[in-house]
Amino acid sequence: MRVDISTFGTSLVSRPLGREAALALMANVLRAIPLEEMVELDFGKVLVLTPSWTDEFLRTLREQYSRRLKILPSDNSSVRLTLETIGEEMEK
Amino acid sequence: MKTDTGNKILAYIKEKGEASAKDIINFSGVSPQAVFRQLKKMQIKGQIFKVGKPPKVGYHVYVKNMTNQLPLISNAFNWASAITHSEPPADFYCPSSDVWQGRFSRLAPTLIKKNFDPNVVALVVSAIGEVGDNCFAHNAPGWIDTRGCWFEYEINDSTLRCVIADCGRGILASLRAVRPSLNLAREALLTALTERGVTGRAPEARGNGLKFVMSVMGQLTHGSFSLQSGDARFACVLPLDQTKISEYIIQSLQPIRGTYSEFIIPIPYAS
Repeated sequence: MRVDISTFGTSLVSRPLGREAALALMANVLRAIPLEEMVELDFGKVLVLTPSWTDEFLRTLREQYSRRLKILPSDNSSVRLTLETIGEEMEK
Repeated sequence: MKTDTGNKILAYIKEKGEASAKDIINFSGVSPQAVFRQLKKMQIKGQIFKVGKPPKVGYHVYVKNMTNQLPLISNAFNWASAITHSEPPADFYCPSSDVWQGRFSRLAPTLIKKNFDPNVVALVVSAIGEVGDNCFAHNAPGWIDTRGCWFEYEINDSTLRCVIADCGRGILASLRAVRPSLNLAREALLTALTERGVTGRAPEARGNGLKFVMSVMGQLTHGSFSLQSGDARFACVLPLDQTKISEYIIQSLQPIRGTYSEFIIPIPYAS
């Protein structure tokens, strides 16, 4: 399943909002998908991403979906630098 | 206009500290149109910046290791450095995180609508976001007097100027809670800018925000960035050499209790 991250906003900052986004995603969408299905995170329409939001978002998601998460490639400079800063990798 | 005229103008502004367009036209002896073209080029290159609004506009030169004479776009620095704090002007005042979020989230779309390069916008605005978020993450709800932050920006020609200030407890007090050996504002600022995972919010896993801001400043090629807390001011001309961060921290003659940040970033238009 592909998740358009811009549905949470296009300028994503702050840890509380990152955690809330992950909790909402798990409760409202991911709970209903088959256990073996991969979750593809698509940052393509995000304008501005920050480490605070992303670290909290991914950390919360990984508690339940660690092996099923994929981060889709993005050319956005803030997405790239944010993922590099928090030690996450995009799919090639 | 030849480059040597540009260099002469640069030397002239540097010598005077501030020069008006009229001064520069009289000095250079070339046509006003040519001077304005040259001044615009020099601003885009990040060599000079404008202060004030017509008819009172002065041109200044960016200098390495800037001291206390940094350009201010508003009274935010005076507000941040005051002993007691009143509320900032309503247009710039974000008393709570949700107001800050709302105003911040309009910045990137505004810049992109003006056809600025989205990749430069993304980097600059992400750094602004981390700095602004810190005002709330490291102070609320224990504000000493006025809560929230001063958040102001203007886009003049193709240069974004943005200031964010709070009158919270500052970086030294925040980090001392987890690292009591810190005594000086300078040490605390250097720690905040360079050491990963060190945060006043420990044991939470945090502490990447200002390191990320340093990485952004290493990637931007023009403009300047400064961040002051206490009497320690980090001030650099871009691109930042991230191996020399400590060299960019100076002692400010005008200390502030909370934090004050200033971004002056020329942004190219999208190609």
